[in-house]
Amino acid sequence: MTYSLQMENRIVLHETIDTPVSDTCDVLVAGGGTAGVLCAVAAARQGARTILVEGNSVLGGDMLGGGISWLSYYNVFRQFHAEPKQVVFGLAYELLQRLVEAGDSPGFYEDYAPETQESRGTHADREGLRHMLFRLAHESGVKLYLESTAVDVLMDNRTIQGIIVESFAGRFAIAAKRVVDCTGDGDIAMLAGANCKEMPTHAVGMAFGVAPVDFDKAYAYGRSHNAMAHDCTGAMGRYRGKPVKYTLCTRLIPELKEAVHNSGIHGNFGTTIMRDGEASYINGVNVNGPSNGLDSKKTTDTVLQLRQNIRKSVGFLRNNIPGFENCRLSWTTPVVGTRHARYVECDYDISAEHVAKALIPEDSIGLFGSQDAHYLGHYIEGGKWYGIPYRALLPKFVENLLVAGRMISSDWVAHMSTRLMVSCFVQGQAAGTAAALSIQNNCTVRQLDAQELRSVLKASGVFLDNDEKGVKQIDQNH
Amino acid sequence: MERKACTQEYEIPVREQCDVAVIGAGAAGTFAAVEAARSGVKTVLIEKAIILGGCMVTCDASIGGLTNREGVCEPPLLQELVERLKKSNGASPFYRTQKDPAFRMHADREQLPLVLEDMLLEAGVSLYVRCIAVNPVVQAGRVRGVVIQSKGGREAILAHTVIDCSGTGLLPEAAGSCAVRIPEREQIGMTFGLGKVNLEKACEYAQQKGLLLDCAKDRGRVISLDLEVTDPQAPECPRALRLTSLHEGRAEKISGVTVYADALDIPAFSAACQRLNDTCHRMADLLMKSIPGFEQSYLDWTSHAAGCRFVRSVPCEEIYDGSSLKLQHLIPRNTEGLLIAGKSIAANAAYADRLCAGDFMRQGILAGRSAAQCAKESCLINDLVFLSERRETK
Repeated sequence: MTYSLQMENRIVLHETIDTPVSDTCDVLVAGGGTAGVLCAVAAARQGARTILVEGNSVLGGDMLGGGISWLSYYNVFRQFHAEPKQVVFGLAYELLQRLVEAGDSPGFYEDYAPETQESRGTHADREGLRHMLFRLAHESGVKLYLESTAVDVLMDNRTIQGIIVESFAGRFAIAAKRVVDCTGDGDIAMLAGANCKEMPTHAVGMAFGVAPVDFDKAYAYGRSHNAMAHDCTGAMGRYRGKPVKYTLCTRLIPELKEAVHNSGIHGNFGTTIMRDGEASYINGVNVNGPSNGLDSKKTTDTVLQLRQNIRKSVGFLRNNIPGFENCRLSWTTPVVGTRHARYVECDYDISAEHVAKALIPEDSIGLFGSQDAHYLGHYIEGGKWYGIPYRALLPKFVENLLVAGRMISSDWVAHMSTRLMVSCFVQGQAAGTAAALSIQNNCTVRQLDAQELRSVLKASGVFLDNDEKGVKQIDQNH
Repeated sequence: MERKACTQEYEIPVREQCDVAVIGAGAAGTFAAVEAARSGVKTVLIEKAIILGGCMVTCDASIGGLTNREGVCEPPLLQELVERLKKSNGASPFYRTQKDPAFRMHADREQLPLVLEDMLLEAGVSLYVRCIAVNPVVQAGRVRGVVIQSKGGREAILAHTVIDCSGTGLLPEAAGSCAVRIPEREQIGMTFGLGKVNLEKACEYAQQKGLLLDCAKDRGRVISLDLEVTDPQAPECPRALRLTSLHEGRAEKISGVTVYADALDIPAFSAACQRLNDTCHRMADLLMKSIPGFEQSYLDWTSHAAGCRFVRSVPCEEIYDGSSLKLQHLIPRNTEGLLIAGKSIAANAAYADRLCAGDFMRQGILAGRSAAQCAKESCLINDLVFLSERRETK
């Protein structure tokens, strides 16, 4: 390694580094978050030697930070008087079922918050989820590289051949036949030469928990002010009949106006309730306005501001909301909940119209019926669902690279649907399966026959039959 | 894929120039940065997580070594930490257990990082979180800064002196120091927390059954409990769990879930993390099922990272044995412009077994103060040692 200091307008260092190639695999997945874990599991189950590279020491990524409320396996049926239909199955549903079995999810519940989600929702316990993701990865034989940050790529012209990792053990490269970028922000795709665009990083969130809380009192208070939303009751196991979600529209309570403003807590803050007397996962603080998730110093400033807001919000709850008088901060998330930071241009860009008109292209690798921009009047027509085409996971200008996660739609309205966690599950499973299948077929990921991919996905339980009959059959089977 | 190695060239923008750059916001790093900044020099602190505190949050159920034998915190910066924690209702009193004569305390796992944030920001430290330090900037045999990596790419922080408090020894090794491994001490641990516990009941039961290893009480309430539990999956080696409690009915931090693994083999380390997470859940289940006092308990927290007891040890000018700390203990051999503090200083084995956060803090404070002095007097670390030795002989 050599360095030279250069004085021009600014100081620039020149660095030359030799990096050993220390491992090889078939499918390398960068990023162990929402899309990445299921992507790696899918690839490994197809028989590919799979490596998952993650910067933290835990799996889960933004699922541990931005909102553990999962919108949604269902269509948004209520305002259209449509039938409730579960459209997401496959690995995403297997994860949920196993969490329910382990007592770490309340299963599906009716979630009818005015102006927002009018569907069936579900969520998971933060600790149970982390544990289950580790178990899924372990059981399917995924080789983990934790505390490893993907920092560069190995390329042969336009074909990606691996990535370079920095870790506390040092710098090394991992060669791979196929790479899937599940970093959330297209970190790999950008380095590999895909066309990327930085997006304004709006409403970065940070989850926290408080305990002890007297929810009987908190509910009574919310109801007496007619300020409850997401008033949900659990359906399964030990959560049956118990409140599992509490959302208070503080903006509907005039006497709280000043305190809400001063604390920086949401106009309607919500929490899941996974244990008696514990607000397990509060979605309550955001830094609004554009910030930049791709800049080291600005990210730090955002993190510090969010943590200050958490502290102020706990004070707000203690001083203002009956039932929360004695609560203390019991948990803060180890990750920042970013919604959007970078868009990667792919062969197909899912548009707002695609979502709204419920288009289902022939190469759809998953169906999805949820949308998080209802409050701005964006719906999926008739409570239907749309298809995510395989082309939407193939970055232009690079070969043998797939992307899955929140970086795939350039249009904000479409992104408010494609970025949802359950959508990322669906994309992850498809991308992992495609990567493994393309190796078996000895073709590039772009050459892979989408119909063959679809039939393999169907065989793995993914729901792709878009006729009424198909949906109903699946409904009855589960 | 026959390639054995590859070469990259980078142009790295300089993000910031400062007097002192500190790597790692654990016990050593936080106090190094606070001390340097309070001495009046421009200080940068780089941390990979977004929650500060390092192993104090992720690994240790209690914090030892903050006080002398009489129970007085020294130096005053440690007293300040304790006062601030108490103000936010986030500290136990200082206590001695039945078997350990040294004073210890425990801090709230959420309040501790917040208090550290306050101290750093008030001191004017420029903080970078979610950044890893990947390489020292070395020029003409002297460390002049550090290369960091984040979502923002590769950037450089130039500094008069760099203090490595990461505990990994990666930078000193890259700067030319011969870091060594202590394989038999490569223990990796993870902590967890339980809600709805009755530690008094558990303590009584453990005493009856001969499972009680140690305990401490505060006004009749059990606040620290060392228990022996036998894991059915590994009955040959019983585990000693330490549970500490700050708030009634909770055991916020439980340590003792550890494995031995080669920390520098990332797949082995990662598999250990998976196993540790699983073991935390299994231990929680075991306590609930087998020990009265935990019947209603639930696992409410696992640490966001695993902590390694040792990664690399870096031989310094002199070897620290746990008494009368000197600057020479913190200077890696064959380097200039670099100090280290924390677990990677090559301590002798006797000291290694008594590693505690209070010691790391004192090392950090000395490193921070010395680095600040170097920057102010525009001298090198080794000049400083030379000057202080000359003063001593006078």
